[in-house]
Amino acid sequence: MNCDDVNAKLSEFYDRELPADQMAEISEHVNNCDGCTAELRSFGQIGRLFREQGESITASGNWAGIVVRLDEQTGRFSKWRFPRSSYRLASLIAASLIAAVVIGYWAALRTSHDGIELVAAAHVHKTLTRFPQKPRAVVDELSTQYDGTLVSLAAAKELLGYEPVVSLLSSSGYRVASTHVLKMPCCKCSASLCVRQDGSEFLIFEHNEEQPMWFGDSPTISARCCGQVCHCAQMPDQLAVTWKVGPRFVTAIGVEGLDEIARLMAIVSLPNSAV
Amino acid sequence: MSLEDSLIRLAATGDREAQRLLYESLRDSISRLVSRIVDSSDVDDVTQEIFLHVFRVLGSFRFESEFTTWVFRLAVNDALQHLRRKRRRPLVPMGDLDMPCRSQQNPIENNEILSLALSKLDPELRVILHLKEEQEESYSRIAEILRIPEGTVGSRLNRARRELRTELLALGWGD
Ligand SMILES: [Zn+2]
Repeated sequence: MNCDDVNAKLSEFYDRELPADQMAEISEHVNNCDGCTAELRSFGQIGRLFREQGESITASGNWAGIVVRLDEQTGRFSKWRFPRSSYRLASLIAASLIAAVVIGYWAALRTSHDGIELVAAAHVHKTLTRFPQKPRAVVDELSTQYDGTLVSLAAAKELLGYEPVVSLLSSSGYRVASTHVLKMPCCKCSASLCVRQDGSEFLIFEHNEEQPMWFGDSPTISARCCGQVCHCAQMPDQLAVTWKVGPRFVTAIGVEGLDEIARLMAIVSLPNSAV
Repeated sequence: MSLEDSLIRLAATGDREAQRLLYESLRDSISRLVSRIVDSSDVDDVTQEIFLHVFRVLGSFRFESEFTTWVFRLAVNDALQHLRRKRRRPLVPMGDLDMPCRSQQNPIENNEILSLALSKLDPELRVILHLKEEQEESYSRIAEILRIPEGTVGSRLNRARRELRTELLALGWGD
């Protein structure tokens, strides 16, 4: 092998992409040739330069901008437009009940999950977006998907090892229409369809782990309400909220507005010291 | 079906959450790739267009190649095409008008010498250097992404490395 032969294959040699016999042959030549050694060394220096300076490139991107364009393409209404202004997060932020608002904290949690749970959470999110139109169908769908068992509150206690917090609702003008125990990939959780006095419905989950992915890419705020932090998401045509109750998390879907969030949190929350 | 496959299928139906997850898993590598091909001021726009393109044609992905290879191939094509379109209508004469003055008056910061030298290479050479040196791809993956015979990868990398070295030395590398 002469210098020309070696030079023609130098990148392949440097990148270890040659069969062993050719690697050995070129290696032997390079070890005995100053010209080829210098050439090879310069490849190494370039590689080092990439490693040192390549990291200075900062990745950029704007998901919100992409969503707007995707919505335009599919002719969907933008998620930010709502038929009822009471659903607007803006009113939540302005409301005096909520003292401190932190945007972004909750969203940051969204990236911390992975694996099969992500896909499941994406499914749950997709299902929940249909809740305002077809609340009962959503409950049925979740039950089918996650091996649900329709139970009484007493039976739920048996299955879960704790009494679902929705039992507290019935003394406050709400009715629990049904409770399912679902086997989600994350954990066993309960889903209760609750009925207001006017006959409209909302859904309450009680689960062991935080589920930020259920809210999808809905705009979310973290807020303090009744002395407790909750995360509110503006999903299409509905508000969703999640907060911690004792060792678990409660998530309500299909909430009507700020007043209701405050009411639910006041009813359902347990004093931390009680746990 | 693997997790990635189900995510892709879900995203192809238009599911925003699945699309967002794909976007987040690819955003860094795609925007780095793009930043090695187009002007820095165009990186955001071109990256966004690439993702819109990916979601538009996602239904045609056949799971025969690796998903990232498929996306990279599309991204390289789109970024190069952006460059060609832009070159066809140069508003301001491009070139290195300010470069010589710059290297004499204020020495190039060490951390910009690589970008500067790369900007003088053919886009095809910049892409292959990026794929090898920064994404650490194998020759077979590079061949797949660039749609070139595997045997061509080594010779193109030879040319890319040697031309880059020439540009680096002209900018005072190693002085
Ligand atoms: Zn030699």
